[in-house]
Amino acid sequence: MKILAVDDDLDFLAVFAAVLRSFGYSDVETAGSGVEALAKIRQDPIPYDCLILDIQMPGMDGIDLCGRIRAMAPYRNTPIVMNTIVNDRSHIIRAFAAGATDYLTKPIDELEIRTRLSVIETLVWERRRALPPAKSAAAPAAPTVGFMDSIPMKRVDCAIDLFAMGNYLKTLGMFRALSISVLTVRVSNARRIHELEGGSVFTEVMIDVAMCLSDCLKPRSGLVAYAGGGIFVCLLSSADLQASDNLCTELTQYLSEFEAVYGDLDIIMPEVSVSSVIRCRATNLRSPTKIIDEAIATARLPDSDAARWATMSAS
Amino acid sequence: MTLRGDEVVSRSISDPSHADLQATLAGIRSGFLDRLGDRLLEVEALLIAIDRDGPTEELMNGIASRAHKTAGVAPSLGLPDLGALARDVEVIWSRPLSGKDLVAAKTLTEAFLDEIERALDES
Repeated sequence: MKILAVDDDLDFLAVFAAVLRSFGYSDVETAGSGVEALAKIRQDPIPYDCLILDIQMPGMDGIDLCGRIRAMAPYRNTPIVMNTIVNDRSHIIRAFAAGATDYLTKPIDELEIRTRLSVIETLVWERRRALPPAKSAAAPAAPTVGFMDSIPMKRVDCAIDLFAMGNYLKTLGMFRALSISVLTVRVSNARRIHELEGGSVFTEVMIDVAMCLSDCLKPRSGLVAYAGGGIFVCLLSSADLQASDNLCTELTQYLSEFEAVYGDLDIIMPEVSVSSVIRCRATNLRSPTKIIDEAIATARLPDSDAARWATMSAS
Repeated sequence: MTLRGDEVVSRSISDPSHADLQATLAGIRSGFLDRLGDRLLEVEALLIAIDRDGPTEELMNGIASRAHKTAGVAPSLGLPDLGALARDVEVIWSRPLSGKDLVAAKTLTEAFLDEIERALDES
């Protein structure tokens, strides 16, 4: 796994690179600033498999750097791990919203780094295996998006993937995670859209829904992840939820802006429903990520209790 | 398990596979301690300037950034107490200070400088 570690503290960078090499990661490069990191990334013809970024750096900070790297096409899905001494909620949420995959805190914790990098290495290999074979001139077919497939939402603000969302909760730690609530948003006619419009239109419709959700969540510092099958998971601070009572109405209003375009293109409008809130409970303390699994499982039940869902159609 | 210089050195005796890491860390620690002496003098000069000119943003950031660089790496080089103190100093100088808070920040920074001196004496 080819790793780029970025930190303005050259002593720390030297220790960190030495520790990574002692774990067997022999292909480790370092950069002392965001500018140097971007230059290395642009010049190197072989992309890095994993980037590890300090946050507090003079000039371009690590969160800004993360956003810039994420905007580069070859790095849309590359794991980016923040490695920092700051662990307040605002830095954590900004980092994940900018595209971070995971968040480590200094000082170096050998076991923690080994465990997290091992998970990331598995992810890197799985993604490599999932890549379609190199295109030949005779077979330019585009991959078909299945109904339950994940859809990259990298161009949507506040959107992260489910893996990163789990890491966000773990980073918050057990007690801060108690202040988080989960909502699921279900596109109730998702199956029909997929069957009648096909995988690529379905993808665009889901991205449109994600964008509208992002508009709703941005003022509330929320995060959204797509779970497949027309289901979105939203994380919000419980303190912000009083204002989110009308999330379904707001979301439907944003979606209605697409009505004319969808009508012209003869595409079925998505109908959305918003679940009741699931709060992180003391029983989730040992594994705060369970709350995400629980929310998705509930949303996937074919006959979910209708009373628990606020449903609206834009049309 | 946090890597600490002394723990890593002792582990190297029983675990030859980590010998290279020990040697590398020992070299980094030596360079870090060399620079720590300069950092002590710089922070002392910043404290004197604060007494003379008041807690300007530039002077406060000067102390916070030097403490930040110490906090990140010191625990990994066998200096956990210095790392913890440096983190406290970084946090306290990163917010607006006046009156009693300023006195507390200076007292904490003096303790940080004492800890640097102790680390240098023991090296």
